[in-house]
Amino acid sequence: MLIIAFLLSCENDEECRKDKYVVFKAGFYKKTLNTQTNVYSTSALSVDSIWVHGIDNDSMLYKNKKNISSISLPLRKTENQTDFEIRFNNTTDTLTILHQDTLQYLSLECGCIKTFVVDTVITTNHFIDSVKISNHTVNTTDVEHIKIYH
Amino acid sequence: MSSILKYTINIFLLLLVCSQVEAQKDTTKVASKTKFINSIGVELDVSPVVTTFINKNAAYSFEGAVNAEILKKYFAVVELGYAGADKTALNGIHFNTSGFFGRAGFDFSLLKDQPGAKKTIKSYLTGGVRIGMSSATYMTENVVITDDYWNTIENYTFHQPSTNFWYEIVGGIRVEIMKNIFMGWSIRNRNLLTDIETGQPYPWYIPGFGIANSTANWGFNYSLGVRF
Repeated sequence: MLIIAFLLSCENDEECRKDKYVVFKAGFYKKTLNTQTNVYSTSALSVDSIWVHGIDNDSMLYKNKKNISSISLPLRKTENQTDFEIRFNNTTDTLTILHQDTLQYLSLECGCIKTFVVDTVITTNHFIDSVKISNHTVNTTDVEHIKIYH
Repeated sequence: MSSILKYTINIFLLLLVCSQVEAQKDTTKVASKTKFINSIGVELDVSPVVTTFINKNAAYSFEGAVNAEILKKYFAVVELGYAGADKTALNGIHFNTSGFFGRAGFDFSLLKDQPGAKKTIKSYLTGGVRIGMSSATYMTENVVITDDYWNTIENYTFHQPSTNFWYEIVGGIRVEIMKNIFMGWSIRNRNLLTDIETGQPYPWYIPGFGIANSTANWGFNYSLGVRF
């Protein structure tokens, strides 16, 4: 009876053990033109200092963070567009991400999460040279979704 | 680790069943002298008295069974019941369901009768299989998604029907405690046959199967019955 009680009681674990952290990740890269071959090469870029906040939200996600080579950004769960203002040292750009969301049920203990598919990324070009989407799917997997080139 | 344990027990029970089938070939002559249906049994599962307490009153189940003893070796079994659950998780999500379920299958007697030997107490050690099915509507409500940065809160409710199938591998005993009155218990390894699609809502509790946190779980029946 004790073994059976133990087996049944194991099923009542109410702690959520699944990863629920969904975040959009952007990496910084430097584009360098080789004048002899006329081909661009890229390398990881460490930004001296960075400030990031959402447009329509004054709360800072990054405030004067030093020597940073990637940033994690929360996408809006209730809208299909998320805008951020990014200040690189003394130059400011805006980053606009167009996305679609999907509701994912995990379990009674964990509830639901929203995952995203990134359609388009648009930026101003003051510090940023260009942007490339490297992974359209935004879920709990810790991967880089866009490359921001300087 | 639990998967290894599960499959080991499954294989062990299947081997027991297979060995009985093989042993049955040796006793064909004895069986041919017995009636096809030896007795009919009606049983009531009284384990919910204990299991409802273990489940902290979140789930309940009532079930009964009818079985027919065939050739003094096999039991054809039909089990019918009604079960449900009403649970609020620590995160505030509330789940509710109730519905009827049925299982059908057979047991093999694993004890070999000694020819000519008289039994003072009738007892059966059995192994068997069941196919189970239930159809119930469930509701999962107050599923909240909050966004602390963008300051948004969404609240979802899932209210939908769910039909599920599963199989069970069963081991148990039955002992005659008074003339024609039997008491017995069985332990069951249940395996869901219905696919749970990743990301789609699914019921926390399936009537007749139990808590569906994973596609396999354990069940326990403690029954009282009468044989005719």
